[in-house]
Amino acid sequence: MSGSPAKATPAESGVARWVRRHGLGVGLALILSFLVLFPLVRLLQLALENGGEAFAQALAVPGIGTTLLTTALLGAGSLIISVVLGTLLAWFALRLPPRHRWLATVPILPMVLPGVAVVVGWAFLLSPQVGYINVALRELPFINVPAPEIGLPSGPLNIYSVPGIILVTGLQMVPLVFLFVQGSLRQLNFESIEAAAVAGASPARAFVSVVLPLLRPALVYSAAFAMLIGLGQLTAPQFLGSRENIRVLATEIYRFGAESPTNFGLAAAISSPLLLAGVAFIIAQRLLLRDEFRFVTAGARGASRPLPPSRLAAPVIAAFGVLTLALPFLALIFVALSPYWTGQFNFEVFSLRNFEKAFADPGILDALVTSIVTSLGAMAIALPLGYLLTEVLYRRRGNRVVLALLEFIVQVPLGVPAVVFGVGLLFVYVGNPFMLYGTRLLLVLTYVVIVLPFTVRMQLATRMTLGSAFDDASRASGAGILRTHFSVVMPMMRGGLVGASVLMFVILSHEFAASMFVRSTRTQVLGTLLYDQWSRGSYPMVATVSIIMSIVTAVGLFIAVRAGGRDTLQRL
Amino acid sequence: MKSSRTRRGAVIAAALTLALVGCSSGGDEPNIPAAPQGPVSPEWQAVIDAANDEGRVTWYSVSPPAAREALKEAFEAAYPEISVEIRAISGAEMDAALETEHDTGTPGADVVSAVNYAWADERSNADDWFAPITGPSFEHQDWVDSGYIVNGNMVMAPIGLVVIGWNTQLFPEQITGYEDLLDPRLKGGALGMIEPYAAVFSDWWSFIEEHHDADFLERMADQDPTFYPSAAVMNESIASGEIAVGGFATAVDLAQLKEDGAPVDFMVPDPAWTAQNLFYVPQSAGNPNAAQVFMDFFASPAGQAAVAEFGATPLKEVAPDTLGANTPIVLTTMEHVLDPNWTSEYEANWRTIFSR
Repeated sequence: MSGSPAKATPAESGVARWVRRHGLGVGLALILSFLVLFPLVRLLQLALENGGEAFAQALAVPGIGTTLLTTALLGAGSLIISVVLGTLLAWFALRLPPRHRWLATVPILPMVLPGVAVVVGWAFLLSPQVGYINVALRELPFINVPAPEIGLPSGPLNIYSVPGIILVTGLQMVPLVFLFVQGSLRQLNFESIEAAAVAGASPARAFVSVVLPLLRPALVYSAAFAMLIGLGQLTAPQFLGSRENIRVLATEIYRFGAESPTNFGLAAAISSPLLLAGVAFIIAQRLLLRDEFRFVTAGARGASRPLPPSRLAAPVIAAFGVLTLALPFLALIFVALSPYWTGQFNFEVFSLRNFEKAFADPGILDALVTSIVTSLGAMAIALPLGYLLTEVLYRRRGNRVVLALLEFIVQVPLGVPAVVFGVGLLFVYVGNPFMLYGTRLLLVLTYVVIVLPFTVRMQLATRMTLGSAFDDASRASGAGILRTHFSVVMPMMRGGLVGASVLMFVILSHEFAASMFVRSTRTQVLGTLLYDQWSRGSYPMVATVSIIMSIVTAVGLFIAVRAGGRDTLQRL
Repeated sequence: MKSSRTRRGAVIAAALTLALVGCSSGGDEPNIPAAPQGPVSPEWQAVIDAANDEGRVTWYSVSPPAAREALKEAFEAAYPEISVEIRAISGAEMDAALETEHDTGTPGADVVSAVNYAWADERSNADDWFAPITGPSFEHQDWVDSGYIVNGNMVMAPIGLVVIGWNTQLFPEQITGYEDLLDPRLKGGALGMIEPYAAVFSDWWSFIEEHHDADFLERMADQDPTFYPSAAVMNESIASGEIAVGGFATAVDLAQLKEDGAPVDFMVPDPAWTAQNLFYVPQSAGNPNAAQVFMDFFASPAGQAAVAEFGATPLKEVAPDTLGANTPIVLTTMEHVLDPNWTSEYEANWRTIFSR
């Protein structure tokens, strides 16, 4: 605080010196242990109570074998889809002609647009009888679907199936793999690819023989991460699986943790495999990637000149954008403008009546306000918290155990699925002494946990770019710690801080999985309200709320890009 | 415990039977119900004033969407200072929410309408769950005679008849009853039915069995119907053309869809089945006065005319104008839905037959 250089006075030699050196790190470790680890530990404790009785109950749940199998299929299937498409798109994104460079953002959009809206859009497209794509496909001469005597033909595609759920989940995870692979591709030495071309290899062969082997570490890492996320997915299975009783671990956690008769012990036991897999992933990552700032995606570009543009690049990425984003959103718009959902286009009945109804509905307006307020509230906490964490992790001062613990905790919300945090946080905060059920504060705390890795990751990346020369100079010139941070470091990190804030807003404004647990019937966010309407069959209103939600996210995204620059999304 | 529950169910069922006889014996000249007006007691006026100050009532509901919207609209017209917020959630989620609100004292539902019979019956008999119903409209002799008021804290209301609905573009014929659903042309998904994952739906299947041949369920299983979790979803699916015919549709919602231009129609089976919705005010209500005023309006002729137009009502002045006036109605059998053993055994048997 004072302008004079730090000097230990005799009075400081004991507790005060320890506090100065370790206070921030230990304080943060305590806060984060409570926020992040305590709910998970309570869950494990609950599952193990009474000699692990809950595990016996879990094994006796009817159809648990099928549920586990479906979960494994979801993990593996979505992994394959996301790795194949993510790698392909990352490759083509680097080979876009200069005038089509903006298309490189398209593969990232599924991550920032509301997942629930996209899932609902897919249902409107691929519902077996009246999905717009199915209706169109049946018009094709080579598609032969048997027509029943009464009723519409079914198919050829069916979104309410295990493959349908895998497809939607896999597509939503494409951005994740895309970003990992793109990060690695940018560091490749492209001269080896050119050498392959000079030696006569076709672009496809060069990709398979040279690029893919070089990408192996990134592919293995992103594949494991994608598998982990796929195993814990709630959105697509909850929306699309209920009709055919398709269950995965995440939907079972919701069934036992948030529906009557509530059985937290059983939900905890069913959560355990996901929780342990997440923790194992983080530990394995720590052991395998031993560089100091392992949660920073290296952004340095390869030293060699860029690859020559490919004529296929723009069409492939554009086709991905049209199929996975434009079509679902067009379907949402059509249904939102219609009085009722039908597979036919009847422009004469289109009206804004559903939007008028939505904006006159206090429940929807409340959910809209809660979505915005809780997202902003979480940002207001997560940003300074992330800043302090960044400072501790960047400077690496203090106890090594504390630093290792902080690094671990920051990673936990990336590895452990949001459903597990949802049920854990609900359990902890639904009873005394932390009774937060039905409050926006519970949503805010949940959201802080969820965005913790993102805020630290982005701020740390900016901090590393900045280096410590400026703040060292400031301190050497006599400025105190606070003055150095407020007058030098923060202004220089402004771009990163603003970008991180708005990206947190974008992620939180459509959070679904954890919100499903920690919402109450009166304190809803848009995603959870949308699910309620979906399960009650109010399809035009579901589409309308999806559009409203997407607009909120789009506004956040627009501000993010304006504030953080064009590459804001790339820094995710 | 079980025997007392069964006895109570039998008493409720007997009372309902009497009430339904009353339902269909309304006068010849339909009255136009009006919103509650005229002098009220100072005590009730104090409740109304407090309700106006609260300004809002949150209604957790599984009632048919069009019925609840009609009641909301009529109530807000009668009490413009109080807005109604409807929270439509599934029964299982609603029970979990109500339990948490009760245990934590968190304000949530002000009024509930649900078909969670066993759950609500247990709590209606407890001291610390539901608030006594205080509105003067429940003093009307028709309500008193109906037997619809349980323990002074819960009201039963058969507000939505379950009917057979169809998409007129896909099925341009007429349906005369549940037997028609066995038409072989409806095999393979064109027919929608309800899955008995809740006691109330098991009771409906039992009603169907009771009024048809012994092998009706096996023949229905051969039809390989498409299953839905609720009537609300089935109604929308009939309108969209996802199914051609639905065996568990609600008249009030199909009528609304028809008004919106959807190609749908419906017929009222003879007899028709309906689930009596249970209305109650949890003691954890954050707006307890607005809740009582809402309940009172619901019981008034104006409220019943709005909410029960496609169902049945104990009010003789409103009954002739309801869809249920000209149809024999069978209500949910309380002996069934209050007995968890009956429910689980019935569901298990059903699942064996339908291989689900």
